[in-house]
Amino acid sequence: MPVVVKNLNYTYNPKTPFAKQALLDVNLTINDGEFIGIIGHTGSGKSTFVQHLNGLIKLTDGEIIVNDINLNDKKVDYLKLRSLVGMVFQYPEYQLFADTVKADIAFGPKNMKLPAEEVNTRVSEALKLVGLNEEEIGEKSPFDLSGGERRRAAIAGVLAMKPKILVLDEPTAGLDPMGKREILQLMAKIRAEQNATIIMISHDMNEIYENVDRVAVFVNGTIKHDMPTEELFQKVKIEEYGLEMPAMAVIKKKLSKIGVVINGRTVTEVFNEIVKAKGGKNV
Amino acid sequence: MFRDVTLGQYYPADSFVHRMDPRIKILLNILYLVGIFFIKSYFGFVIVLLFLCVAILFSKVPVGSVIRSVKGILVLVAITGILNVFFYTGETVLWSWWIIVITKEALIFSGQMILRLIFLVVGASLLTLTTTPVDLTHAIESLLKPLTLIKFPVHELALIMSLALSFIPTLIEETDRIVRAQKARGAAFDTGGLVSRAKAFIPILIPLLVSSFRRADELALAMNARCYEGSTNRTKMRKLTLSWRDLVGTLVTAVFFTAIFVLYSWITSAAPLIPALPYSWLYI
Repeated sequence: MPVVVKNLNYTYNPKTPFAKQALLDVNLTINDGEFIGIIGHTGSGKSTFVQHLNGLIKLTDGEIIVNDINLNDKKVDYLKLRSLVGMVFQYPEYQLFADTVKADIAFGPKNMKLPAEEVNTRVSEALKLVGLNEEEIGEKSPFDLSGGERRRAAIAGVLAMKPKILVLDEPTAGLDPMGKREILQLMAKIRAEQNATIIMISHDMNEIYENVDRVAVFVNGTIKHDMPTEELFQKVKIEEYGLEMPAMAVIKKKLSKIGVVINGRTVTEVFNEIVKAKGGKNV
Repeated sequence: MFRDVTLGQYYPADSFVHRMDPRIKILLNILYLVGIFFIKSYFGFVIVLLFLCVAILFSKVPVGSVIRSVKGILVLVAITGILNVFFYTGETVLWSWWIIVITKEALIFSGQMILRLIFLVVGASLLTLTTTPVDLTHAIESLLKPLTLIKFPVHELALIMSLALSFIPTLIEETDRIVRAQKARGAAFDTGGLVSRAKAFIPILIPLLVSSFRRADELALAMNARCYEGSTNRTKMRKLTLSWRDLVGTLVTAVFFTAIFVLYSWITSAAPLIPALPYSWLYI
């Protein structure tokens, strides 16, 4: 069952001198298993929007239905909603608190009141999924890990709740190139193995272009464009919104002018297609 | 969740009181606080009320915000009022049962006590409502300057204060973020018994503590890197200057409080005559 958002409005600090309209008539439907990217300038309402999806920001004006949970209902089961919609915030490593990595990852499943055995299996599974060695790292303090490991441990804490919909707010910000690649590979793996819907906020257009199926562009609190990735970067001048064109999209545009049409989006795909067009073999 | 916790409850506006020099505002506030304790009659409180009305009018702060500041001390006010009614020893007994005696004097006295507390808080909050925390620290630094003569580290104290103040919004934001992150992992802060509620705060406090230390470290490093040195010959970006507003504000306050002091000395000297007047409790 998809996520359906209709006519969503939200104002911070209403009826005070600090009042600020953050969302303005937002409409979006996200299908099961989709990998959707959300882009937009800082302060365009992206974070406010995604926090509505798991009820961290209470719905005040509009309609939201997540799977079979209607957020307009008088009594919403927020625990159920939050285990359904996992949310990884910006710099999630700053939320780590427990003595050991394992105990921290167990926090979510324990809050879901799962039996101890189930909690343990979920912790092991989550550690394995994010590529951390249970024997080596599980009993360590989360504060003794490296930056990339810490972030993966924090993501494991959300994955252990087995969400059907995973929201990530700039999951690769502040990581080195290798850390970034690992997180993106992890997302592909989660999608393949758990068949989860993934919603990713990012400022890195290359990352968006090479990974997601569909993009929603937030401008001043409303969704200005909502299209398949390729179509968006070909048709829309996203520079107007303070965003940058992805490198591969620029190359493809330039090549299309001299008659070379390329379909792939990742660096490897584009490279191979160029080589092919020049009559060479795949590398 | 923690959005509402604000120490400096500054209300942004452009008004007469907002533009007054914060040093003068602090001094006048001290005068006001002292003055209130000289009031011995309900009539005096009417004068204070008048003064507050004038001050609030010229500060453009909505009356609601001022009243909201009283809400926090309502319990204290109630307890003070009740204790005074029971323990003040007066002469005219109105009602008694077992060891509880309520006298007319006790009622009058506790009524004044309640008004005094409320006016105290309203006056002080009018200062914080119209002055930014940064201005307040500047003013305190400037007012404490004479203490440098006895080697008191005024500048360092002011620096610590302003750093602490400037980190409050950051810390609130950080707390808010951590709370949201833990809530997203199913944490509940408003259910269960006292122990489980207290326990629920551990996942917030530890990350907050860790990040506070990190921030303090980073700030110290950044200050060192820019060769920060204490008070010697440091200049201010924004200098505090006196204007006609401060003169007018001081004069208005002075008029009101002269009235109060005159009333006070008149009552103390003329007290024996008053009981003859109708509603004499209003004056004493």
